[in-house]
Amino acid sequence: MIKFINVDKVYPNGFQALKNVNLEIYDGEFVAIIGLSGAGKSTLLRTINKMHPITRGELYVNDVDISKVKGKELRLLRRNIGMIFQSFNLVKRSSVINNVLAGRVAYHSTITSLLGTFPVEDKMIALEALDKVGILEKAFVRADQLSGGQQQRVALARALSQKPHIILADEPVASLDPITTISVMNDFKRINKEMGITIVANMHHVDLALKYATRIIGIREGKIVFDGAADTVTEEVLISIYGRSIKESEKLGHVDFDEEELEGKGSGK
Amino acid sequence: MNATNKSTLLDKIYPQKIYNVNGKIIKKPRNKTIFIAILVLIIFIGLLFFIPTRNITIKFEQFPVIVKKMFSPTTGKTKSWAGWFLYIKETVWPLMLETINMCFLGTLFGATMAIPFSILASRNISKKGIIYQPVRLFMNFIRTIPTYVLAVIAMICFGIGLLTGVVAMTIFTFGLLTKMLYEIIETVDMGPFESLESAGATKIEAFRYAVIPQILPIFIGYFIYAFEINVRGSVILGYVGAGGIGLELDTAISEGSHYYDRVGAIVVVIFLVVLILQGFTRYARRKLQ
Amino acid sequence: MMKQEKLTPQKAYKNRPKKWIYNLLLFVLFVGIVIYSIVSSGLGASRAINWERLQNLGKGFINPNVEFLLGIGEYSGEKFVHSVPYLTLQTIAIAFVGTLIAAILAIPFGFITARNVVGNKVSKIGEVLLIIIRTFPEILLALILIRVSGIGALTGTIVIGIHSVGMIGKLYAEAIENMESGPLEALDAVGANTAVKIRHGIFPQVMPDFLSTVLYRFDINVRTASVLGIVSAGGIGAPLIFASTNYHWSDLASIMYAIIIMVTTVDLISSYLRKKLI
Repeated sequence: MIKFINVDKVYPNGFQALKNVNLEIYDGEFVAIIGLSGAGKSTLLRTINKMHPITRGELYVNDVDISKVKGKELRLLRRNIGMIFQSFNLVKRSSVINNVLAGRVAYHSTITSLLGTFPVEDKMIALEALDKVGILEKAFVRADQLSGGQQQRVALARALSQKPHIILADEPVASLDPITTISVMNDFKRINKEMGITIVANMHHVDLALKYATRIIGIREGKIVFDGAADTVTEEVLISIYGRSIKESEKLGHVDFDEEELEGKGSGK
Repeated sequence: MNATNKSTLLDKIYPQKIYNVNGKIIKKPRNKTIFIAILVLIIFIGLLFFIPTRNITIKFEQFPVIVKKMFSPTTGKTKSWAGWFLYIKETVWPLMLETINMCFLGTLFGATMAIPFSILASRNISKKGIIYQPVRLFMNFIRTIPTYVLAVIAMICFGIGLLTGVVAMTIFTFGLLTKMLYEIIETVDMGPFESLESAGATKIEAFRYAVIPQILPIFIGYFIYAFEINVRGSVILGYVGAGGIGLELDTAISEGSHYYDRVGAIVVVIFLVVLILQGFTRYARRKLQ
Repeated sequence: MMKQEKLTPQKAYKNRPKKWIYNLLLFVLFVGIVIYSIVSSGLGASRAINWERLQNLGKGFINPNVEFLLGIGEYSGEKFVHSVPYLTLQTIAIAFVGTLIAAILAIPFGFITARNVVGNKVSKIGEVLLIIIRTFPEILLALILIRVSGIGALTGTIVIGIHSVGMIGKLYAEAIENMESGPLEALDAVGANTAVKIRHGIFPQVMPDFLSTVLYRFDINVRTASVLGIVSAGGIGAPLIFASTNYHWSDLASIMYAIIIMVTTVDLISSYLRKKLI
């Protein structure tokens, strides 16, 4: 469970990115955060694992105030939180499995990580994570040989190998083509339903957010202006979040896809 | 599943790891890096035998002694700081200029000769293989001969002196620049060239107006680069017999420790010149971008 | 109300920037320098090519000193250390060992010169250090070090080791600066400490570039190592000079054959390996 209490975030240059945020996210939810660029989506997400520390308030992640935690304790907390980035953030020249194994480093001593001598169990965890997202056969291939959608899946596998309670996703599909986008979003949905992992995702495409998330949080200028179920989002709500009606570029639009592929198989495309 | 199970020798020494994930089999490729690392280690140890260290004592103390001798003119041949600077002004500096001169001419002649050859060697200008392939072969051959070998051959022909150096550098620069030039010419945008040709210009005219403007800044950059390399190599060429500052250095060193202050003077001048030249090169190349 | 003159094509042409004057001056200056160099170098009063000697060299190429070249006969046993194969391998050894030492020593230098690691100010110090090491001509270093570690291959190795640190360090720094910071962010999010971030984030990104640099440097160092022999720092340079000054044509030819083969082979291997790294 994630709990924000009166959270502010002011950057060193004086810009206030988050204003008095109060929020509770329960286990197993699929939350999408929407809003304009610069409204505070990225900042909000990154405060949860303290990539950006908050400047005021309390932030509880599984009953620990993460804003007060440092060093080794912080790392132990972070290993329970997976993160997916828009630009995948893989080591391009490394193999897929080495990228996924990086998710396990916080479970071992520094020496083990430095030597790269992960135990067999870890390698199995990594391989199973890859299987879960449907790209097991690519395990020993160099990461940059994969398509964008496959690379994001590797990133997803890396997060899964952490055995996390929560996965944070920062515009995870913004770099992908429409068909791959649907596949990857299906993977997220499946992971959320089957494994009970809480998902908090920044979404650029509003229709995608409405379709996949159970709960929508709208941010405008650092303040939360909407917090509710996805099916309660109306055109007026969207205007209050974006200050205008939604542009075409903020919708994924209609995609011709195979209904069967949608059925949660994660096609490995 | 069609698996022809040929159990090779390699499989017996170094079997591939097989993982079973949810019923699917995946094989881990063999770790080549270990092999390479071992190979490198073996080569390393093997080669160490060629470096004799048995009768050698490293006289670390000599180091400060030498440096001191290099910079205390009073105990050396030049007898005083005034003499030291005089030595620089009257002997070292003129020789340095001569050497730079030699490098400049060598680079110039080499670059000049390189232009027609590189044009011939580029695929987009001389479209027929029968032209560019032998030219390239010839150039590759020239490029494999190291500068000092060229210098030795030149010295045999021309005796000791600047001419040897100029000739050696010319040939070296020729080899160096032709390759760099034809690579550039091949990446040039041929559009303007073709449109000029179709408007009636001859190959040469089209080249001059369409290709040269694109290449000129890069060419100048390469010229400066070659010049810098040549200046660095000029010291050793002097040793081989090309004259210039290298020769003076050789003389001073072989005379013995009494002459170390002269050696110091030469070292300082050479180092400064190379340093300044480096700085100039970087500046010039940046301006050409 | 100002009466404005219309800008006609004729006017524009008349007022065009007179760049050609500038270019002409530059060209004249350049020609002047060239003429001055030629005249002052005394090249005009040059001698004719000594054809006789060249012919002798040619004969030497056709008839090389095979025993010398292959290290047999007169050159086996005790004299083997003076034979071409031994010296060629010694040259390669000097280059190999020297480059390897430099490759390792240069790593810290590379890191303190990379702006994304230490910031702009500190990296300047690293840059200056590397420049000094790089610019000091290897020959001079060799000449000085001979007094310290004697003539022979050891000195050559040390010279190459020191000099290459300057070159390799600079290229290392460039590789580090070209690194992506994304994977490091991901490692942060996963809960890695600094050492692990270096090992799993920086290391795999820069390793191929590092190796490529070392291979490239090895290639160049083989040539340098042979040159160092000329000042008696070991390798094939010394017999080269000896043979040429004493007009031992067959020996000289043998050495040249060996040098060309050695350089070409190392070149080919180095380029092949570097292509495989990308």
